Amino acid sequence: MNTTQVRHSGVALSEAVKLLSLRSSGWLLATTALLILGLGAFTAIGTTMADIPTPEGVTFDPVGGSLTGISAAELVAGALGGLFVTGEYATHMVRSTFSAVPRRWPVVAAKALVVAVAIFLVAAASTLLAFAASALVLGGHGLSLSLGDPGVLRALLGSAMYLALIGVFGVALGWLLRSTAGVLTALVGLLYVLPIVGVLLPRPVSQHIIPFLPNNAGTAVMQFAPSALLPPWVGLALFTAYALLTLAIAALVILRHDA
Amino acid sequence: MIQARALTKRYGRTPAVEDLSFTVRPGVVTGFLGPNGAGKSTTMRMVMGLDRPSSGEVSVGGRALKDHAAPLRVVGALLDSGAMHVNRSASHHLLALALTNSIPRARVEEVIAAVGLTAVARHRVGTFSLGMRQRLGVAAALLGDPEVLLLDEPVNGLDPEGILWIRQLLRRLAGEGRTVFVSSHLMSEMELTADHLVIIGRGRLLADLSMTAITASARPCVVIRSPQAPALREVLERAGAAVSAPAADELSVTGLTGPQVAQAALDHGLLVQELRTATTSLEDAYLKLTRGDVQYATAQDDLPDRKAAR
Repeated sequence: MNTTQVRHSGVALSEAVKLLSLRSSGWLLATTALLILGLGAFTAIGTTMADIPTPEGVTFDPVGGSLTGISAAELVAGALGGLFVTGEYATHMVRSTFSAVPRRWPVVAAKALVVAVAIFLVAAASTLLAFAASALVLGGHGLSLSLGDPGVLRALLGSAMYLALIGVFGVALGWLLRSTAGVLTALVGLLYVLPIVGVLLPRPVSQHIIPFLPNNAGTAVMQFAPSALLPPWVGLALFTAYALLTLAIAALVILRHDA
Repeated sequence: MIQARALTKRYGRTPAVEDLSFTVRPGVVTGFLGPNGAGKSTTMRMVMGLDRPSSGEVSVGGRALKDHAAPLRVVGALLDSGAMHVNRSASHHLLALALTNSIPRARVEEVIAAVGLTAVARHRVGTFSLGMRQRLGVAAALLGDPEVLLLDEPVNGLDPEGILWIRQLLRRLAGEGRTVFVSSHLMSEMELTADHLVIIGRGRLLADLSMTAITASARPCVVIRSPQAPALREVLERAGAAVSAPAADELSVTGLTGPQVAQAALDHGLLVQELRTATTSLEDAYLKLTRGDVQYATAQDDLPDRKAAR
């Protein structure tokens, strides 16, 4: 019994039990998978029904539209992370949590890790499955998609990492705002409003800002043709830095707060 | 052992706890008594490191809680009954807490059985009654087999059987040499369980003393009913007694015994219709102590002096 102590592995395991023992987590993860699979398959089928021959020189989407669902799934992934934290405040569970781990920051780290891993596993399986479905549908119409094509695997797994990081954002925002409504508002601002604001900026300024906006940096990992965005992995690395920075700020803030 | 030194907590300018110093010792049940809003819960949250004191400090087992390798082994707390997620089962709630401090999984089943929740261990906490949640909270407090137990209003929402169970549990834990700190706003509850009392009002320490000291201070008095009360009062006061008149035909006398009062009345030919001895109840002592410090008093200038026990 004298081996009893707070260990990071124990705190991570504890948070995994917490996440998986809530029915809402299951629903949100299933919704993430359904959005990726459903919208991906829908796009692939839509492409075949339009039956437009691809003109010479026009590059065809090498993942066959299987990542269409990401822009919808990202809000669900963020909500999962946010709810995982705000649910503890709403029920005062956080007091039990911090009584067991009074240093608090191991909890902040563990929650982010657990949410990221759960989302990544579900999202990666979903994007791979969506791609397989697209390949099947489009293959019947003479368009061959291959996992070995340049950038395909990177885009499929990279988009899963992007969703996982949005989950981390959700967790960080949850600690900072402590309210589900607040987290959802902040996520919509981050994911959908900020990119629009970037486009509305005057031309010469916007070119230097747009690629560095969190959402644009994160989605760069899904691009195929050269664009105004950052290179894929550079963009994702920057997005990772944004997420971890927000998480670090959250850890500092809650150390000073009353639970 | 819990030691608070000059503990102060202010919310903006409003002080919730002010300059509070006390020590809670092992082996006895220490009651933490005060009216609603006196700062009991705030103090308990500061002991648990959940709220940051504005100034002052508090230690558990010799140091701040966060400096212990396994906090759940040091102190177990039942805070407000809601410190648990309503959509999680009782056993998952306890398992999640146990894992953080590397407490063996078998201990979860043990504490669930100890509080009598085995049958509903897999049910969602949201389906529990307040009393069941209190039991689960007690299970969580016992999880790490801690040296110090801190319970905020544990009898809230419990049925008579549950209240009895809590009382026996507190006595047993103290008997095992543990430090037991339990808050309540009811003196009558503390009277039955506590060996020592820390009493606060409006965030300030009012008293820190043993139950025996309080019992000893509750002086016996004689209550008499007489149609000639004013005359009798004069006689008794001349004999050196302290007398008050709760009603027109009633006197409350301290400083003389029942037979002495009766003899004095007979000597002066005064009629006594009723005579009984009574002791000031602890409840009255407590009310007196906290009267000026009740934050939400009823709209009554002064409660009638209730020296005589009901």
